[in-house]
Amino acid sequence: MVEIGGKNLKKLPFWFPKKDNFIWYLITIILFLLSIDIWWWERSKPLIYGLPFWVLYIFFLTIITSLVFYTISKKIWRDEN
Amino acid sequence: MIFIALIIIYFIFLVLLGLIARNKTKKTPEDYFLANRTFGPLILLLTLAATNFSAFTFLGFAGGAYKYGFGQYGIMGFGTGFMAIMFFIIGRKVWKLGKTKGYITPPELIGDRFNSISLRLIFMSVMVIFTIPYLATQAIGAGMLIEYMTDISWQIGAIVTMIIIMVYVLSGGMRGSGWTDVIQGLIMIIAMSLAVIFIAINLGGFESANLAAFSENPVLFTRPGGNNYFLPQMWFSFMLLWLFADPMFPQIFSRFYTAKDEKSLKISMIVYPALVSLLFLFPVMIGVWAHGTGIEIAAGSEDMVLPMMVATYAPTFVFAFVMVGALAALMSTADSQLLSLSTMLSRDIPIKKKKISEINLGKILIVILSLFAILFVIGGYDPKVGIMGTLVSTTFSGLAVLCPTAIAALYWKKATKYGCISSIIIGEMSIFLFEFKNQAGSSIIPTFGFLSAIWAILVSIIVLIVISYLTQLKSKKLNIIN
Repeated sequence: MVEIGGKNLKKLPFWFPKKDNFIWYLITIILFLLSIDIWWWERSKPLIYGLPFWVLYIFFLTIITSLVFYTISKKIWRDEN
Repeated sequence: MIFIALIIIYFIFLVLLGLIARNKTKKTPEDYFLANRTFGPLILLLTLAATNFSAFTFLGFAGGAYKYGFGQYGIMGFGTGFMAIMFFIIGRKVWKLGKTKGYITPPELIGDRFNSISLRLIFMSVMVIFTIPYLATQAIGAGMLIEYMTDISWQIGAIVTMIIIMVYVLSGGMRGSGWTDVIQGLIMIIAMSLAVIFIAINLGGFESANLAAFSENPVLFTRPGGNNYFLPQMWFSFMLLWLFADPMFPQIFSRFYTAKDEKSLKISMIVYPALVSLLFLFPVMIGVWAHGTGIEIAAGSEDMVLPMMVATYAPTFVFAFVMVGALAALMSTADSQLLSLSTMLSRDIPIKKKKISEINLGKILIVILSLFAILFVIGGYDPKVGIMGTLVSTTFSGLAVLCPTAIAALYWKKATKYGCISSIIIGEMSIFLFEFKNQAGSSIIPTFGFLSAIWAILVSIIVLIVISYLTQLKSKKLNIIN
């Protein structure tokens, strides 16, 4: 049983950030913020296979989202069956 | 001719699947409306995807890309992919509560959590009001697609499509809808892949197709893109909108109940972003490539860019198959909407159903709603005008306002029914206030470049928190007095 300041952590909901999974909450928020890539506005070059580089950036960011969700499913989303 | 043959085979296959599903379905509401909560990872993923990908995914993305450029991929690819986090935040809890408490509809869960019939009815009304015009729009879209490909009038095409949907949903319930979604989802994925491959080959490869479009219209390769549409505020608005709106579509929310186990939901959450990252890039590329080919598309007809490109650069058989894919996208959304609407109307309205079973009432409502959609078509309903036009254009905003209430119901013990009711009513009213424009065409209340939905979501969150605290304090005081 974990206690902080005398409070029983068992009463906290399953999704509440804890020391071991806090990083994954942070990464999820950072992922979302990275999708608002205003630093690359009004830019199209370099073109990679004719595609503007930021399209590939968004593509890989979406793939990384899948990987982050995989980790969330392992680290935070615990089965309660 | 090939298209008509493919359509006939496709329609027969859908009806057969519906009939097979009927034989597997027991006469319980849980089995008919939720397939007895047995959808494994593959069916759940594909039914969620096919339900969420509508005509807009097929035709609208390409049209948007033709108009505004590659920015269309950003808001849709990452935006809807990231939305899958809601399978964890909302889906997991909904699935668990549905399993333990036997919930079948979204308003049932919300109303029961706060022990409020009024809240249940308000939640249901918002879902129904914003979904019915959308259902009619899908039918009209199907009709127009059939008219584009054949000599059949769009009204006849829309009515036949609606009847086919009605038959397989009526027969198979959620099992029929889920199974046909799997087939429709696969058709969509194959059709879109074929379209982009054949067009790219005929344009000299991916790079040549991109470079030709770039030299013709470089604005489309940057943001804000065509018409300066994707300003940072707009970009941020769309990224956030899908997160709040998509899980509040009744057909998506209901699917959380159908998962066999948590593993099915987890796998759907993991694969969904990867699936959309690739699939959504295809129609956007086709839309942008059109600029390098010299194809001219009249203003207002941009959504026809994908059919025109496929017709020009792919063999007839592929063109016919891609159009069946577009029809599949429409139908998989419409069948899910039809079932979720009838489920809610048969279950959430507090009337005595002694003489008729819930399933039969649901079936009657499926027929009534289908006839309603057909009446819209016969009545010459134009999805772009009038109050219905407003509802269609504000569907996402209107449903997004429900999200704070859903999250509060699942996580916030201090939320009250008064807070939720106020949040929904004031949130919906604020959408229309933010959307209201003066004679000069500018908003009465400034939105500072953000979508009005974002302000409406903010308003609904603030109202929910403030009213919940106020009503809590009031009830605490009353308890002390008593």
